[in-house]
Amino acid sequence: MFQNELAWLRRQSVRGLLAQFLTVLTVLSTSLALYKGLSCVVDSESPVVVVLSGSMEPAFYRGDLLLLSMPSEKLKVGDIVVYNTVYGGTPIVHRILETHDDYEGNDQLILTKGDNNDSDDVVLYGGPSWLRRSQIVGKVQGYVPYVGYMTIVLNDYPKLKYALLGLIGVSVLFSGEDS
Amino acid sequence: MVLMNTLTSRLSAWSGLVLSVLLFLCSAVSFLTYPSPSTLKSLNPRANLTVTSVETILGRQRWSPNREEQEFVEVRFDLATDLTGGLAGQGGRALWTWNTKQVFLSLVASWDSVDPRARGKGGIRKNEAVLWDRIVQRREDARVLISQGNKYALREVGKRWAGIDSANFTLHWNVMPHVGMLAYGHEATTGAIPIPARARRVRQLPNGETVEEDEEVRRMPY
Repeated sequence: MFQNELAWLRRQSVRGLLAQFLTVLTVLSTSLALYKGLSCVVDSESPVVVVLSGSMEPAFYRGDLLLLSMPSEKLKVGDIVVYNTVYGGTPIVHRILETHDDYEGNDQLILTKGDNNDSDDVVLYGGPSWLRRSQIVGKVQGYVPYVGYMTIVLNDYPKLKYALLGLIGVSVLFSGEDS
Repeated sequence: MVLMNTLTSRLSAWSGLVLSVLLFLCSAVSFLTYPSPSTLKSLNPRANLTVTSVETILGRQRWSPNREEQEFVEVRFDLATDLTGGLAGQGGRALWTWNTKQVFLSLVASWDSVDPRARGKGGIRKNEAVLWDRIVQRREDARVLISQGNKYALREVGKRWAGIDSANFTLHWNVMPHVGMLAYGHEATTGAIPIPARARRVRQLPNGETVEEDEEVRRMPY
């Protein structure tokens, strides 16, 4: 069935394959550089996140894309922020309910709550009664609906992730063919 | 295989075009429907916010893992505002656009307290807490006329409100678009509202001395 393709593969030189590999590597590292560059500009280690839980409905649904930045001034009550819990796992996107600013320096004690939750997030902090500014990944500045749903599907069905990677690998391998 | 090649190249060209167009459209929409600087910075002259009562009590939270006894401030307020933008032509405000998904209103108390770590060096800590909020999803529902008390606990980091003279109350709004940048602003504010000290019961002993008694610790509804 794939006689032609297999014969062609055997005819390929090592140099040709390596050159193709290098092209792929260039594309990947350019994307990474752009992402990290954006990270630097907005001062947030994760400038683009996908909403993973329903705790901010009806504003944000699972699969929506959020654009983050870390403001240089103090975070305010009502800001929507993303933070990581001590339990690891998914980052949480919730709204700030209380802020208590340090009298000097930039640190703040922060209490958050999801719009769709009845109670605040104290149980998620793993002990302390407050979040600190240093635990906040960023403040939500912009929002695009539905775009991140692919991430959720890939996370929920990891076999799909491997299948997709395999497909990309195969297509890259055969992309240099002239026929 | 030739068909696959043309198919994949067509697909990649088409998806490249679609993505570029969508990106441009989203940016344009966000830019066009972002509230004007005057809306962002100004208060609504037609909004009315008054605090009708303030009381400091000793209580214990019912639904929080933090069950410590602490002082809570119970506030009752009246709020009347119209955010529908229907009066835009008459000096009202237009928060709603075709790109508005919902508006989030929150009533925020802000006060200054002394940071204990400042150790008498005059370190003032700024505090803000939400005591009430509402999600407004439809433009028609954006007329708010309420008179009620806190939805959330108003408590201090130091667990006591002694030494805190007053607090300001402000109504904040947050416009959340269907696509684009989130916008924040203020709607109305009160001046400094004094926070009373907790009422202590004073009992007179037979020998003439007075002793303060702690009232019972109230179980808070939040």
